[in-house]
Amino acid sequence: MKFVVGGQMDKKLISGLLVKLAGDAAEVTVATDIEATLALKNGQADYYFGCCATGAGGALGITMGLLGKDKCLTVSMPGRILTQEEISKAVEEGKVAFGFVNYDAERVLPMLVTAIRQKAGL
Amino acid sequence: MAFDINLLTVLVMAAFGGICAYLANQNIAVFNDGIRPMYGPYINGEIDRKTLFASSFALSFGLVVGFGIPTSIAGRIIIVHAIMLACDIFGAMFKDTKTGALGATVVGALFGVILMFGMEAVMRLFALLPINFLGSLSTVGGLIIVLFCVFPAIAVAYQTNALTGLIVLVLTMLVKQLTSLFGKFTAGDVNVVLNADGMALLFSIVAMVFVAVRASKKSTGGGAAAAFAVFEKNIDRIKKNILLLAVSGGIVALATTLLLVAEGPASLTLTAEGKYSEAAIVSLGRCLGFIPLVMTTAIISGVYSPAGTKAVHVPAILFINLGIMGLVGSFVTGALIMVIEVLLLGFIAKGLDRFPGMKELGDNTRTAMSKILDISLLVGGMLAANAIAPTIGYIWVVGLHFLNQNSKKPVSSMAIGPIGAISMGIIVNVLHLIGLFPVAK
Repeated sequence: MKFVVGGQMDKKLISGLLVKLAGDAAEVTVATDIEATLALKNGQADYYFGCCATGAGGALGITMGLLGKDKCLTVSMPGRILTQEEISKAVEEGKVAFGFVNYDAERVLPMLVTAIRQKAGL
Repeated sequence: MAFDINLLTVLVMAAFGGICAYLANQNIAVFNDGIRPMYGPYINGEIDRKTLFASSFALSFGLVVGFGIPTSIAGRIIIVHAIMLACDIFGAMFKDTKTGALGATVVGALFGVILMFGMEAVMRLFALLPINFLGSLSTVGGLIIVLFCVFPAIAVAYQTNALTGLIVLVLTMLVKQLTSLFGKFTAGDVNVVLNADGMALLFSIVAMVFVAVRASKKSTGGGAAAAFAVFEKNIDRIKKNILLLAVSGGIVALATTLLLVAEGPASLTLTAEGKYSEAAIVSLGRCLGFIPLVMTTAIISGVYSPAGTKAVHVPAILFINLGIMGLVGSFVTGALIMVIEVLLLGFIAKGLDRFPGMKELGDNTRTAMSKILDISLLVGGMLAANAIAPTIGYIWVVGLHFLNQNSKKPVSSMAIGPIGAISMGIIVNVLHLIGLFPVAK
């Protein structure tokens, strides 16, 4: 699998966590949100991760605009974090781009990677 | 609060809330960069008004209550998030019909005025408590003034490596030390005193832009410009509303000049302390970080921000205390900046593709600024809570910080300092009532 880290904050932190969590299962690259979204669109990446202060604007704004909201999920926002069940269901339904608040990275990424592994049957 | 309540400021707050709610209601502009992309699907008919409202509420409510209001109380100036995010919600709450527009505008205007009186009332109420902790609250933002000049060095490290970041950091410290030693001199009859924090910040921002331009990667081949070409009609949609946006930019600038609102925690603290030139430099730095975010989300959605890229705040801060001409100047400059921003939208879309380094600079600037603000406000909150209650202050704020990280409903980490200090103040008053916190004679 190919993971791409897009907009807009703490990209090094996210890519580091993803490498640790996914191990050999995924190849992780870092790009700007525009490049990362285009990579997802062109099939050069399977999943998109991005964070910012709201979990939606910098994190997913460009992706939502270019790929449509059906592909995108805000996993955490100020005042709320989705549960593993909600995340797994959304991944199962075909969400491929995920946004969250930068400070929630360590909490949401394990859940996201678990959900993605489940879907891929790993 | 730092502002006066008089006929002018009441009218400006009403106009501020009114126009922000109107713009959000008519799908012209919203402040939350996260809800802006949802307006694209709404305008295209993919989602209905209820879904739009639910999203707007979910994305903004936590920030209004958890971040906007405590930061405003601790800093004595209303942070724009408290009013603008609320107005985003009011705008989406009403249908985008003529009656809906009227409803949203009235509610927005009322909210602006109520917020202003509410802040003042909270201040008065706190002043009546047996233990007055208002003086200690300003400590919350105190460290921002000193620490803000560190963010460019961190942004440089994100873009290149830690060594280059260290070089910028050391040079920043050198500039500050030299300015504080030799920054006072007489030119002719004029005594010039250079502010050390301001000079350090100015130097480090220039160094950051310099490094970003040099480290800029070559374009990856026009992919983004092609992707953005689809959105030509969105740019036209924003341009159609250029006059309304100009008025909103003018009002935002005017409210900034009247000390009613501030654009971020750093410039808020500096403005409240009367350090206007530094506040202007800080908001310029923040604006650099927000240009790509605001403009790209605007292009993909066809919806702008009532404060634009936040550049309107920069001259507005410099117009503070310049009397009636300053107010007029602030309004006109603010309106003009919005016009220029809107006209530049198409150009920026192409520019971001040609200079991806500038996009990267924006991303890195925002990450670095948020790190500095978080730690400054956290430590500031600890110091303030300790000043209020030396026995338990540190314990309360550090505890809150980590408990928040494990909460199911975490508030913005930047808000823990202000929330911790304010709640500490209330707690000691409760303890005082039951005899557990005697006032030192």
